[in-house]
Amino acid sequence: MVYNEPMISIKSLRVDYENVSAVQDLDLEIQQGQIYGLVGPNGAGKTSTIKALAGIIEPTYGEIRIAGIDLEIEHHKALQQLGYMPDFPPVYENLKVWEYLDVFAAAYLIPHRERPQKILHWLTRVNLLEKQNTFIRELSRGMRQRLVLAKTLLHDPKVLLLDEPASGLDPIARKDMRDILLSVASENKTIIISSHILTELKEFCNAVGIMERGKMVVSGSIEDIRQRLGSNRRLKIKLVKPDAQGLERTINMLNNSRNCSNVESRSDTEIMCAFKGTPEDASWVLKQIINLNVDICDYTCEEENVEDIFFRIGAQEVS
Amino acid sequence: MNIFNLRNNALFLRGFRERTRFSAVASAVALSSILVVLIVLSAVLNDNYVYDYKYIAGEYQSQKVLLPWFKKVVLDLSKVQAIVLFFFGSLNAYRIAARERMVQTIDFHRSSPSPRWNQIVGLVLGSTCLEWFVFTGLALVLLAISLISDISTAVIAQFHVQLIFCGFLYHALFALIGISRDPLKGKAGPILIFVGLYFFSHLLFANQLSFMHQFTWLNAFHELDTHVKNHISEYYGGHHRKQLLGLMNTFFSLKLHPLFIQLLVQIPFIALLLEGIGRRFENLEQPIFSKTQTLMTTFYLLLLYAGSFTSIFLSGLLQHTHRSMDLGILFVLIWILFAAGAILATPSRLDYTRGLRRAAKLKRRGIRPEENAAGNSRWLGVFVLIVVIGLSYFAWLLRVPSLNFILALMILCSYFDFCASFFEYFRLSRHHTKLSLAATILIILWIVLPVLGMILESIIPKPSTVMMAFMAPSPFFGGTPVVMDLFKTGKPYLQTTHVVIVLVISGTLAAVTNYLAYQERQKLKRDNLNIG
Repeated sequence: MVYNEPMISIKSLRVDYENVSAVQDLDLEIQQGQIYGLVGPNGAGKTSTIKALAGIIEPTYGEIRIAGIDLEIEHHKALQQLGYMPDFPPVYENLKVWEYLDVFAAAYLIPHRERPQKILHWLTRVNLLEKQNTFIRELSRGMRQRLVLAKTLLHDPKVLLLDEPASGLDPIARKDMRDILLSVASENKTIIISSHILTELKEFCNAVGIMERGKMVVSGSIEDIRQRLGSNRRLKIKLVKPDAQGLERTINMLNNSRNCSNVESRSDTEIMCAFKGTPEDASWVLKQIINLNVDICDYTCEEENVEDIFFRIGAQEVS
Repeated sequence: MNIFNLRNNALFLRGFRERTRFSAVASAVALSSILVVLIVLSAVLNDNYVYDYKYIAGEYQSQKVLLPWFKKVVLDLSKVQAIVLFFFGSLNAYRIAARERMVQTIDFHRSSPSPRWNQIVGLVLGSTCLEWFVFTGLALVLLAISLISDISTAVIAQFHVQLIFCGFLYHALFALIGISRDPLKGKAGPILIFVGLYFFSHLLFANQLSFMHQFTWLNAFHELDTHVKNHISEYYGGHHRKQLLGLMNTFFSLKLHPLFIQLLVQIPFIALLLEGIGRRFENLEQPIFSKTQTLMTTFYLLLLYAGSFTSIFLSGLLQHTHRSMDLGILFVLIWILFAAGAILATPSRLDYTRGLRRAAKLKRRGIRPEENAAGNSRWLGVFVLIVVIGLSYFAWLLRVPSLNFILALMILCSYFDFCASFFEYFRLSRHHTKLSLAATILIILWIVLPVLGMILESIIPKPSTVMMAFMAPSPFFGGTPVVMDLFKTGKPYLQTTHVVIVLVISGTLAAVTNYLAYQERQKLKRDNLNIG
């Protein structure tokens, strides 16, 4: 079923704590199938936003709609559409893996007869099938995170709220988690995923919101943000061998070019600069470098990723 | 969804699975079996005597009576049942509920669409299921003994029904304390609650108030004990046990069935405690009980107190020469109810601000009085009304002169107003995080000044008037003793001047703190009502 209205709609959300406003007048709309990355440093208000969406904390005011259902008015109906995963895995140490999932399958009102099938399905998806009869206290941190993810997906929610799902994981566990999330993301679910580690998000988010001190600094699809804030690319030039004169000539030429800025040499064979031109302009720059008789072995024009946008926007607008 | 469909109850499944592992069940069954065998062997191998008292020639004379082994077994096993159900059950209800909060798995349940009552029932029953199994097993043993002996099965059944309701009450209480434990704070809170409950219950027990006994399993046990030893007339605390037991089952001098009076006392509190657990699932930040619930509890406890006190007062069975002690306990109860209610009914600065902002957003003129965020003025008004109704009854029962009664009420209400307004002002003002500041002010008013007054009394002339002026700010040294003195029917100990001093000082304090609280509310309204 395709919703005409946004899958998640937040209007004027405010969340206050003692002496501090965690979220201030947040407006946000996320469409079905969007994977929305909520980015920001620690204390930016990401967790409070996600907790308010999950119905765990009561907002000071504001309206939250999940699949068109008002969270305050039809609380239970709205919660049925949601799957929430916090940044650390709250588990029952003395239960077995399948028992844990069975408990939450019951919490999400999945009928008794359907539960074993669903549990097996999700244990397979998160690669924990062989651990189904293991006590949770014997699982590693990564396995616990995957178990909690399986719990989050058990009732097939339309909306997933994932608060720093890979925090505290080692690189292998992080990759496992990313692979599972990518496979889940392909199922047309609406996902909000928060992180302060931007590399976690840039591979599968098609929209981002950058939060800082409780406020949304910028929000939208990555393409949309690029267009709004001006397309920024990076030029990366690599020389065949160290050539001080060639390096200097290239830097001078780039500094004189109107599309290039922040030119810097990373090593005696590498130059990097911000680039604000079209692909044709990049081609023209390449021709100029060749005309300078500099031997280059690599010339790349990279698109700005989420991380670059965050650092640029976060640094400029917030401060 | 059916709340007793435990197969689909998440929190029940969690507790049930954790607590009914083969090893745990096997240990429980083995230990219970050994205990039953030991109790039976001990009863069969040893002669058990009880003392039968007869009133002969103006005095009680005792006679040793042999108690049959099966009766001894029934009495001993019933004590084991109580220990299993109340001690271990309550301990596990607290432990599992507290862990739910500490590990924050409670958030998963809170963000699930599981019905609230399922969560409440699941938490309380799931965490104590093993104790209920053992209890049921021992109950079957007791029923079997009743079938092969002359002990009435109906008596055994009634005893068990009484125990079951006591179990629900304690398990709900301990689960509520556990689930209210803040993971960011230490264990001090629950320990203080337990210590407070212990001393509070002892205070009320000391007064032989029947409703306090109905909160425990003791009444059920005494009923069973009396029935099991039916031919024995025991002498207990200066009276026949049967007579005392009769007093425990009366309400406003009306004799009621023991089970009925127990349910009358316990069911509203079981419901209240379960509702408190439900409110935790709803919102961890809101007070455990709503303003309305605290008022209803106050009313009901005063009603129970009045019913129990009337029975004792009119029975003539117990010597009630110490009226001041009885009144003292009544006023302590009222103060405890006031303090607990004020803590729950007074919003924090954050809650009040939130409430104002929400009201502004919804284009309301202010916070509705029944909301958690509302100030405590309306609550205080209704609380005072309840206390006035309650005390009017006691004044009528004790034949207190009207003028004394009115003066006592005015003084008492001034202290309530002062305390509630001071607390509200402090919670709403910018000093709300400085607990030490509030504590210092109260220590000066309530302890330092009275002590100073006592010192001055010994060194200056006209001591008692000066002393009273120093005592007056304290509700414990100044207010309550004056109120109690006014409740006396005989010649009062204090002079009229003393009463006037206390009235003026308590009234002035109330007016000042009321004004401060009002100003603080207005300030927050000015700051927040235009936000939107």
